[in-house]
Amino acid sequence: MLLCLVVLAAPAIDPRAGPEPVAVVAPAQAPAPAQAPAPAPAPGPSDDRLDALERRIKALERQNRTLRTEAETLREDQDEVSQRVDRIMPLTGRVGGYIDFGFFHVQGDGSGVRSDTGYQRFPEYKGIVPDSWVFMGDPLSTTINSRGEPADTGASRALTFDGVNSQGKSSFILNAFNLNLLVGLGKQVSVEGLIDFVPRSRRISDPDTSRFALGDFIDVKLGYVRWQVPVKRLDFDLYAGKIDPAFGYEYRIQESPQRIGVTPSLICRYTCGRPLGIKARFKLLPRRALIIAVSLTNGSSFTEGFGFANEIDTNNFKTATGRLSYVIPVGAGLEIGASGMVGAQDFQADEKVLQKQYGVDLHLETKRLDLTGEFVQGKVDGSSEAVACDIAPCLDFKGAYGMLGVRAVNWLMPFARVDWRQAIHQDGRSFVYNSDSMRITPGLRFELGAYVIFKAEYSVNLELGRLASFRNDIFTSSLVARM
Amino acid sequence: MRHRHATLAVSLLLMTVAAPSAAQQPVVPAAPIVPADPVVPAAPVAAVVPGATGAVSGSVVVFKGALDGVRKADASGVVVYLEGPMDVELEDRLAESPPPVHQIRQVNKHFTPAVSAVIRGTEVSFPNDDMIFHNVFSLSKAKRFDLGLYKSGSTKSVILTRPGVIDVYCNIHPEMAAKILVLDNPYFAVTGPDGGFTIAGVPPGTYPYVAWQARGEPVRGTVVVPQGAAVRVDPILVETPQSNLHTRKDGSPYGRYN
Repeated sequence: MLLCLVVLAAPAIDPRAGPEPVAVVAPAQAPAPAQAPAPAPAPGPSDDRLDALERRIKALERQNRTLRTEAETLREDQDEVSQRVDRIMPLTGRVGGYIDFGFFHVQGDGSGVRSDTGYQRFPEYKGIVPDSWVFMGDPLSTTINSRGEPADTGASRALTFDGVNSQGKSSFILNAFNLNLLVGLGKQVSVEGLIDFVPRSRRISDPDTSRFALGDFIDVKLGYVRWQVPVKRLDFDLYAGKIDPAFGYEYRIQESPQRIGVTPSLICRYTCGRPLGIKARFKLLPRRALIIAVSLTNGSSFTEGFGFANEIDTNNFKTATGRLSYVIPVGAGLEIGASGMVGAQDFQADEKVLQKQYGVDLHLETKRLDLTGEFVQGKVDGSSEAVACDIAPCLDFKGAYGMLGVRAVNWLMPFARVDWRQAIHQDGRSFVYNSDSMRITPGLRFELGAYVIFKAEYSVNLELGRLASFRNDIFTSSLVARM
Repeated sequence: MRHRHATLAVSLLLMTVAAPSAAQQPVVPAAPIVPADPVVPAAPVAAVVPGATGAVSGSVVVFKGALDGVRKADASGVVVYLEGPMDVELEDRLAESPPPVHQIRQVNKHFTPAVSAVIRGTEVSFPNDDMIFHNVFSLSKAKRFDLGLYKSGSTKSVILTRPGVIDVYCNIHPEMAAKILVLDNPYFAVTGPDGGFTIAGVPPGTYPYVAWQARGEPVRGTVVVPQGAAVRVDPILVETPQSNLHTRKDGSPYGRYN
């Protein structure tokens, strides 16, 4: 190519111009013949010019050859590097995670339940359950972080693990130091682990045994292998291990960086748990708009903190879960889903005692809006002999939430959530919880660059129906730094 | 914003200039010729001399799965181009005035347009019109790049100098995918939803042509471009399922919800 250019350019070179820098320097003027006896063809300078041009072409040819060789060497080097990168890339993994630090204050004693002293509100339990164990409210309505830990469990008997135990005082808290390990084994197989390191108070010599606490703990939230089956017509993923559930929507945004606000909804306890088992997910149609997820797991999608989910199964009837959803092309997508789950009741040996629930969910994301709504209803059958639910605890529940976040500017997202839960949870003579609660939670989310998020929210906690009202509003905040 | 307006203005001006020259040329057979997808104007670098050059126009038909499959109602995103190296004159002209910047916007977690064709040497910009972070990257051999994290209102760009297919992704959102076909000469067009296309300003001669699609095999043929007239070709393509599987920029898989 270069040679062609030179040849094409050659006639255009001005003979009066000085010597070209790359050319071999030619004599400025060829010596003229001393005498010219006869008319002769054009004098020597043009021959000299041609000689000079020829020499220049030769020089350029040499230069061209050198450049070609260098280019070829560079190309070979690059191919080699590319091949190395291609070989190494499928084996790469990444270590990520986040730190979640907060400050909170909850009114009253920090708990979401009160005893119905003197059976003022629920006389029907007189003679069956001691009045101090007849609870009004929701022990998980005063959660103060993304993990769903309540500020205090108070006198609660079903939910006894009191990791925070703030007793109504305001406090800073390191909600979690999270570690996320993700390793690709080839292009289709990956392994992921998600672990929370949770620093909490140690109380091993308190005479009040109900306040006994071992202190810091580790929560292995996920540990699974995923196979992205290479199928052309659909996206097909298989998961095995401690996995995300296949029920509802909120489980996808329960880690602090992904959650718009600070705390989970009142129904997250039914849909956010991570059971052990296997899951398959299919995304079909050209836009992958139709999504089907099914799982077979030891226990339900109840969270571990709620007392119904077990990791190692106690019965042979595994829990089957399914979700069907469709994404309508509105904004970044309007996803509408329906889920169902059935299995033997967690922590029970009898396979005939069932635990079941169904729900519907919706999520819309546009440039400025993020809207989520979810409803769930279910029943844990329990088992009775002398007194209701004395062999196995019973739970009837339904609840819903709606949450809207508006991206006002790049770094600010005001949000509001309204959630509601109605439930009766009884364990023979041991306790009964009557819950009819609603929370209204406005808040702000600040995204300070790509890696730091600050969130603050205030929940107005309301008791409805026959429940007595008591002070249990929540202010909580969270500073999240992603790694 | 001013930059985007300038690009739009240049594109519209070029389309306005090119349109009459194509319309003045007789088309064989006579058929209504619809301009190519206005979202992805081909970079019209070649000087169009009415009467001296010809045009290639036609309509692409895409079937799903097989030739006897269902015909796709939306035949957009097919690139029809003439094969041939960049000539010296064009190379010089591009060195003096580079082709207009081509924009691929990021909006609602999608690249728009999803399929583009540009001449080599074109600068492609990726404005983030979402209010969340995106990280545009490519691991394709024709161009490897990583534009890093950037938020709404920001734009980053890359100059594509080698011909080939470039797969563009977002490192955060795996559903975001785009393809850029970098070509050696300006004789190409991208189809609109009705499949129509026009390649104007083509010097008379015989050319191999290619109808290229993102999902499926390309169709190849030969076309003889007459002087001062337009020749019609109507390629028929078959779209086949393609795996959406790809990794993040570091080769690791995307998260579990994707």
